[in-house]
Amino acid sequence: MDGLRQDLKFALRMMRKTPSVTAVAVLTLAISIGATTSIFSAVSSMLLRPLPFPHPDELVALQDTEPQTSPHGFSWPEFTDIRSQVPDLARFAAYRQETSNLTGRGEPRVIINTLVTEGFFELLGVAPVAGRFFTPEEHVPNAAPAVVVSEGFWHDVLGGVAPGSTITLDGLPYLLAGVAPQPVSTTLILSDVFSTLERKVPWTDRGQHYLETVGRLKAGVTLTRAKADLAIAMPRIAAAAKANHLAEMQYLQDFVYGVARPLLLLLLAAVGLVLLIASVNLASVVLSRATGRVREFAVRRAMGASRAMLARQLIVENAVVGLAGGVFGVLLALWGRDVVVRIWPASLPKLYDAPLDWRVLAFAAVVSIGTGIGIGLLPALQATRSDVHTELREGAGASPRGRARSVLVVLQSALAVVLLVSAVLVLRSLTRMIDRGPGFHARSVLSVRVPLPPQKYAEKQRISFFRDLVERVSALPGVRAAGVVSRVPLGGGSTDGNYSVVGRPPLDEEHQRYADKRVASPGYFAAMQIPIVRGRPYAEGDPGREIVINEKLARDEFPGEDPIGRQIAQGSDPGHDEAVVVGVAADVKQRRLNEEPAREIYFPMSSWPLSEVDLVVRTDGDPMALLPAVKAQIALLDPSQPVTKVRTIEQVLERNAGPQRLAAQLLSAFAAAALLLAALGIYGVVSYAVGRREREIGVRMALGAQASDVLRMVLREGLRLSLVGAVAGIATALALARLLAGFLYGVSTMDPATYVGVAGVLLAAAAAATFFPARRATRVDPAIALRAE
Amino acid sequence: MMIKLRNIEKSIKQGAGQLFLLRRIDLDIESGDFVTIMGPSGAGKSTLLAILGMLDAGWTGEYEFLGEKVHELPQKKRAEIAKRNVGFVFQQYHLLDTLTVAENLEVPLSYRDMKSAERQSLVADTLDRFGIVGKKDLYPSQLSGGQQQLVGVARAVIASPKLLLADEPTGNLHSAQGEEIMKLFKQLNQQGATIVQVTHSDANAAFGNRIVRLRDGWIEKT
Repeated sequence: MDGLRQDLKFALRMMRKTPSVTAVAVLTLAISIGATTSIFSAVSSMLLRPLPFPHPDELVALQDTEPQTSPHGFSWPEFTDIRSQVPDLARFAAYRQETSNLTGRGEPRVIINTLVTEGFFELLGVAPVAGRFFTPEEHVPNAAPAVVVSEGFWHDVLGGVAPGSTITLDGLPYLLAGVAPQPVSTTLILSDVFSTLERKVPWTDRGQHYLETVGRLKAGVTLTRAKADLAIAMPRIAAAAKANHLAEMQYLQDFVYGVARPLLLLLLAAVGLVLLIASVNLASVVLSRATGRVREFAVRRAMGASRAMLARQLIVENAVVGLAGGVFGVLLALWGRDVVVRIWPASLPKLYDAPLDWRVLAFAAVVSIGTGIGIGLLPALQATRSDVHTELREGAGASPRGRARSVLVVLQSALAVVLLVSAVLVLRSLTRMIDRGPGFHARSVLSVRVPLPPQKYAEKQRISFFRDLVERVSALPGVRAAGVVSRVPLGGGSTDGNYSVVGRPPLDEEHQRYADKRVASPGYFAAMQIPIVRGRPYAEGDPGREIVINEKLARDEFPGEDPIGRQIAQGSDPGHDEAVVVGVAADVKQRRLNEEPAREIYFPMSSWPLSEVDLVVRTDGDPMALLPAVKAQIALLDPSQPVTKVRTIEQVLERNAGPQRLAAQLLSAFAAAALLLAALGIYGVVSYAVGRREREIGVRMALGAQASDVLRMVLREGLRLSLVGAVAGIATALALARLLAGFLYGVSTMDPATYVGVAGVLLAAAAAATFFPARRATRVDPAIALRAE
Repeated sequence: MMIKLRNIEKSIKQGAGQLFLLRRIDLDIESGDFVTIMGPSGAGKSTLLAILGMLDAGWTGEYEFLGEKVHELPQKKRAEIAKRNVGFVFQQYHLLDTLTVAENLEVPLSYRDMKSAERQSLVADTLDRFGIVGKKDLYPSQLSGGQQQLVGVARAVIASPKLLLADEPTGNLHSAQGEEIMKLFKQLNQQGATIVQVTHSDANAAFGNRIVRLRDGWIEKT
């Protein structure tokens, strides 16, 4: 303990003695530890911090795993089957998000109304902030309408009005039963109010998968066991229902935040690499300093210090530097985590805050001390291995540490290549995504969602409302085209459904064909500038017997044939609900920019009367400038009708590219930092080598070497190291790039141009970093060099 | 007998062959001896000193130190024996630049199992004994060469070693300073310390009671 105190005292003195080196080391560590801690705080907030509900490890989410589709929600019959037949669930509840029009509280507004089944709040284990949750009587068909509101909505919109009063949703009075606490409406579901789902039952259609679910496992039941039991129960349930749907179960936390995991882990890995490169750089500096301290270590050895004592001293010295870097790093992270929260992509689960809690602080402490010890380890090993007798005889600087430094430079270069390759691949994907485009022209298009309450508007009235609206808006000055669609592409929401081609045999469950189904008015194609490549759009007044398919569906179903005039039925039975193909539209990316377009069917409004649509309006100028005129037209049709989701299609596109853009931006910044650090490392090692070889260079020049010969010799050394680093980096990047696959689009993880380009950039940086010490070497005076002996 | 060397040889690889630095060295040193090792440059003087001080491990032959068979001991054990019994004085003083005089004196003690208070008291005694109390807070760069070597000697003896090894202790000092240091050695020798010094100076050799001459690694005359 006493020895450790001595080492600490000496470490602090060493820091004071070399303030500039210490400051650079602490600053480098502070920036890299700060960046790492900031990203980690987001990782901790989403992936490590348990959900803020009692016994969060018992909370699970279930999803339907229908063959050929990605996991999705359950239908009501499936939900009730699981609730009654899966053994390990103590409670099981479903919810579904809708929108409602709130009136009677100032300007009408659209709010998020989440319909929940009985026991939803009790399952989560929360207590109401005020009032009560729903009673069993409110969870029956046609029950008296009641709402539980979120805490934020209660304060901000209702002004904290007492439970027991009423609010008007979609023209109906709802009893304000109580107030749900914060985490329900922020962590789990973004919602303004909650109402009971069973009021709207019967939802008997097994094909309508619109219920998300949440369950609580019985105490003592592990997820593994529950999954095993579910795997046994589901085929029985499916067989009884003559279906082949199965189900999967995961922790609720993974369900809520799992989609953000790849981006978080990618960023953490990237920033971790920067920290590693910075540490390698500092290890190189420490190694140089250790070279200057060879005599000190030898004297200490001669005075009786053991190798372990010396190693401990060096490790303590660097751990103190690491800790100082960590302290400043945490201070920087206080700012950095706010930046992360601010730039977090809107299309991913919301990152409310990224607190520097004990997890984050423990992470920062371990990283800081670990980094400090790490950078001191190599010099410590070297110092303890040196030969005391030789060091004492030959004095400071005689022992070569060149090889270790060269290894560090190769390591730095290799790590920089890994980061550069990742950054370039993601950047090129982003460019491809934007260049290849989504299949429509996003510029100058306004999108506004108009939800019509079914209680107020019958089916025919809704269709006529939307037709009138399109007609009125199309006539506005500055409008080039307008239309409505069930959901704008890339705007979220899934509208998958199965279909079959008339004239072909019915398909069994396993061979179902699926397409993205969208309801759109004919003007929609013009407003989005989606070309009709064959045939025509359906007519405005079409009674629902005409459809438009996309090129992908035409290629898949009618290869080498003319699809116009062919009939397609909705569902697996070709004799049911058939419509004729009148046109083929160009492919559009409906779900994600980095996915190829799926098969698609467009229906006229009359075939599928919607209660809410996105109105899209193309103009020549700023689309947002049209908003007041569009709202005025809606108000003329119904003064109490609010609008929601006001955005430009460019914003929709931007939001969809958010995770890729954030990854590209941060990876580029990290890669630039890595390249700079690698260049500095190469500069340092070559500079050091030139200093050590001054005499040799002098002798060479005395023997007739020209300046150009010396320049070439030194440049060769610098480039040799970075070439080895580049090769090692490319090999590592090739091995790791597949981890990036989820972020890439249109670019292979093995894209040769990227690898060659990155190697070229590294070599150019290395050449620049080597040039200055090389030029210095050419100015060595042979006489002085020889005297230096 | 404090030291008994038999057939000690030391060589290093040179090209395909071996270059011998020491050949068949037989040497006995009694407790209380003041031995001077002399010889031309490259004769192996400092190498022999390093072997005596157990800083060098790469040699063959037999070495007994206070009855312990050093050649049979692992390096760790040798280091332990050296730490307990041997003090070094170097030609270039080798004081640690970042430590004060008092702290430099404390360095050897800090590597021994000794409490802080005990160390402080020993440092204070030594400062007093060598008359350098006034210099205790100065750094090496603030001292003259003679003063630095005085501190070097003080540091070498602070842990009361039985054997003091000095490699050209006055090589970097002018003659008056050198003589002062040599008188100090004589005094330490009279107080019981066994001293082995390497020097080129006959005047310095005169302070000792025996001279060992080396040439090309061989002992010329004992």
